[in-house]
Amino acid sequence: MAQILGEFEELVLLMVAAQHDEAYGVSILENLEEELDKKLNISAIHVALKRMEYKGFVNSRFGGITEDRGGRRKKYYIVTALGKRMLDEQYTLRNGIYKRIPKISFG
Amino acid sequence: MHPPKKALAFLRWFCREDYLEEIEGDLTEVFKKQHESSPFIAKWKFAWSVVKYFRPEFMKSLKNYQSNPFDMYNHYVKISIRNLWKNKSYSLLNILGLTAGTVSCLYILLYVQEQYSFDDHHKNAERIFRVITDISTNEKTDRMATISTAILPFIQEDFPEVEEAARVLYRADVNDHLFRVGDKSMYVTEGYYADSTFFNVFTYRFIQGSIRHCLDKPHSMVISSVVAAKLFGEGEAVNQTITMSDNFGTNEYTITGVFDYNYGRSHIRPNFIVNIYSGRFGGFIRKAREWAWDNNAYGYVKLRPGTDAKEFEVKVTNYVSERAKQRLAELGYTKVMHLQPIQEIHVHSNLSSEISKNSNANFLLILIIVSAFIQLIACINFMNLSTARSASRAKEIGIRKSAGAGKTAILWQFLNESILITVISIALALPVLYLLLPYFNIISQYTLSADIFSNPIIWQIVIALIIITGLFAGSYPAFYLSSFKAIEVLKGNFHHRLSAVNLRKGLVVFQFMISVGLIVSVMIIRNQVRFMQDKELGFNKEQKLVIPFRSRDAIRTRIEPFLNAITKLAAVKNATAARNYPGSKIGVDIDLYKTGQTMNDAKLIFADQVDENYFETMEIPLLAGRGFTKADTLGQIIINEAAARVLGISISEAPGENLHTGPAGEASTYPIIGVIKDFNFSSLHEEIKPLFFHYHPGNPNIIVSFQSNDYSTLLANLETAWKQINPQEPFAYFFVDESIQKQYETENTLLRLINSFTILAIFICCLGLFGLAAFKAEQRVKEIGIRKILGATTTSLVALLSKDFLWLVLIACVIITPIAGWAMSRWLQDYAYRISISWWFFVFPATAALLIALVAISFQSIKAAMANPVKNLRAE
Repeated sequence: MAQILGEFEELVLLMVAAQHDEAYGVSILENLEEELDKKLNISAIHVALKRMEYKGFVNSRFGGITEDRGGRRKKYYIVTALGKRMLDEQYTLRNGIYKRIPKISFG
Repeated sequence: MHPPKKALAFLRWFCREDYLEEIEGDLTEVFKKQHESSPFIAKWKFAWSVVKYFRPEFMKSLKNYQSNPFDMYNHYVKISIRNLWKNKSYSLLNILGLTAGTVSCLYILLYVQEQYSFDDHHKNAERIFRVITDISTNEKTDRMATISTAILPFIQEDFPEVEEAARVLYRADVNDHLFRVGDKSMYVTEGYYADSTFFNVFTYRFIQGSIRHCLDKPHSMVISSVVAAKLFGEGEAVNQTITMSDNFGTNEYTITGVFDYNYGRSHIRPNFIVNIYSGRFGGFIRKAREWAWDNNAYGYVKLRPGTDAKEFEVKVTNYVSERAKQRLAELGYTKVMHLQPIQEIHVHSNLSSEISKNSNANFLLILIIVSAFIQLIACINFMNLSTARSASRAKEIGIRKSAGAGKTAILWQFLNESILITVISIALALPVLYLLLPYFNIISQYTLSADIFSNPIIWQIVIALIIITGLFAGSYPAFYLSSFKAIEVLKGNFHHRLSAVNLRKGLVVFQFMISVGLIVSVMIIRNQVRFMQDKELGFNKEQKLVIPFRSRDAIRTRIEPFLNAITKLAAVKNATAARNYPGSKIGVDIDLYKTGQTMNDAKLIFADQVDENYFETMEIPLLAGRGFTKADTLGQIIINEAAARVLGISISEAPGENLHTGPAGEASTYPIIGVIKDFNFSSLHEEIKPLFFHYHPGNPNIIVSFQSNDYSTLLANLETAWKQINPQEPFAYFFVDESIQKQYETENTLLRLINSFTILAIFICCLGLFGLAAFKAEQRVKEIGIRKILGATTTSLVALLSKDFLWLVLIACVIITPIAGWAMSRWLQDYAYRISISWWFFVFPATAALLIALVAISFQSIKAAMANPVKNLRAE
């Protein structure tokens, strides 16, 4: 099965990778909101995370209990080797194509 | 500071458990952060997010969802089916009983449902009412289904509340209308004269022609699809001309429409409707001015939405009392008007002047109760057989309980089992009902069409029946079985609890109480019906037949030649022309008073009109005075004993007295010339009422008294005479005793119904008894073996096994006797002439029940008693 990484999924996966071992739903949400400068719904993050977990791009583990969360544990996500390779492939692909852009001024 | 509770509860309900903690945590964290800036937005956002999670990937999977109960249910069904299969004979007894009960129950429920749905199909039926009249004199109040013919158009004119109004009239003494189209002719009954607004009030479905303006012109006629099919076949009926003759004359009518006879069920069931001002009868209606008398019209009003019917009733009463004030005062009447919702007429209205025969709420209630009892008997079979045989399931329950099953789980298991059996029985009952429908319709004298199987109502009834029957039959066994103690049953010391054994006996007693009660009622109804058939009526009803004339011309000119012709026949003893014949209803009554009294003292006396040969033909003896002669055309009357009694005239002095009617000044006078002996001119439900006869030669019904056993020659001769004298009409006749018999149609239907119920009840009881006896014999097989070895005879063993059950049947008989006696004496109250209840009405059913029970048990007892004891004892 060809592994497919959706556009939004890619963003979430990048954030998971960037926040290495510290990424969980709310942190991903907040950082992405900041980067993208627009409001996101937490459910969208969860949908992406669950799909990527199913595809094997991320792994998850439960963390400790914090007061903020009404006694619920955090679920931390970490990018898997497959996920990392996927990111690399995307990066190479985009970079490659980007480099082919002729050096013309768009000013 | 807390997330919205409802949203959270919803999330927890649908969200899969392995995701829930993370999602809930993250949502809460986002909520708290948001809450600091704006609590309101935070709440909405939380709820909105929850909604966004409502998608398949986050939901609990159905497969995983409470997997245990689902599997358990599969398991219960499997175990139930295995158990059914293992005990085939007991299952068969249960299913057979329940199927039989359900078939009758279903039929009755569908029948009753249909009776209650009469007139539901009219658009805005809840706003349509019939206006009825209470007329009170000093003595009594009579409620009539009708109003004075003249009143309704004024009500429509003067009350803004009335959206539409229509009158319907028919002549009670004109039943058959002769229709002629080309060379085809047929008699049609149930024809009505109706205002042109009739179809604005009532909803009909037209097959041909237009429902609008179809009754606008006099002599326009709409006919039912049934009549249309008979007269025109497939062809076009609209614009055809029909010649209609009855004893009101002959007129030509133009057909303007054909309505679907089978659409909806209504208390008005016309074969045809003509414009109200058609023909000679229409002429009378047009001229009607009377506001106190002439209560001959059925008046229907459709009220505007929001009108209070009760208030409107009062207004109409005041209106009528005011406008008819003088007239009512003259007659000494007061009139009160009432509104009857049309949907209630068929079941709840039973007035003497109903437009057609209605059903009766009590009758329907009796049917429901009896069919419920039948179903109950079948349920009891299930209870008894499953508790009696509980020993075989005891180990299973013990093991289930030690494996952790709670009481509720076991309860559900057995309820499932009983519902499964009910479902099987009903699945069998539906096709059986479909096949037997024509026979049921013969028994009930009603046409329940097979269309009901496509009516959604049947499925509602079926589902309700499954649940009620299943739960009822299953509840006791389920409670009983689920209360077994695991340790005791597994140790092997299983005892039937005494309470269960006693309850079982009680239930058998109850079953037989119902059966015996039904037998008693069948016997009493049958005897009452036979009594009414055989009773001396005061005239001779044997060897008499009636030949009706229907068209006015024939009645005017051909009665006398016909009478002359047939009295010459050797077999004919006598013949007379009368307005009424035994079995027909005397429709006319008049207030009469003696000379010296006023209208206030008047007594209501029925009136009949006959020729000079009537009393001789009917063989009614004259007590005083003389009979009619051809000269008695000046209002001379002959009264019966009852009339003499209510008027306070002695029989010997009656001839020579005068009777009067009408207010002083315009009173008519009738001289009495004779008194006849009382005879039952109406059904035996009623005492003999006061009656008088006046002389008139041209009456429509020829009553022929004959002396012959060769009916075919007699009828052939009569027909020949008819054809010579009155060739335009088909020859028709009926026997007087048949006509009398028809008055007891209701009783005969009731008898047929209760009869079938009784057979069914006994059958199901016997199934149960058979099962219990089999079980008892099986249980005592060792005891019987030992007894036999010790020298017991087969007879003594059969007696031993049967005795217990026969006691129960006997107890049932003793308990039910006073109850049935009381109920049936209540039923007999409705008859002025009734049988007295004697002891053998109870002894015979009791004996019958004992014998039938004995047959049901003895098959098993004899089998057990005859068995070779060695076989049964060698096992250990």
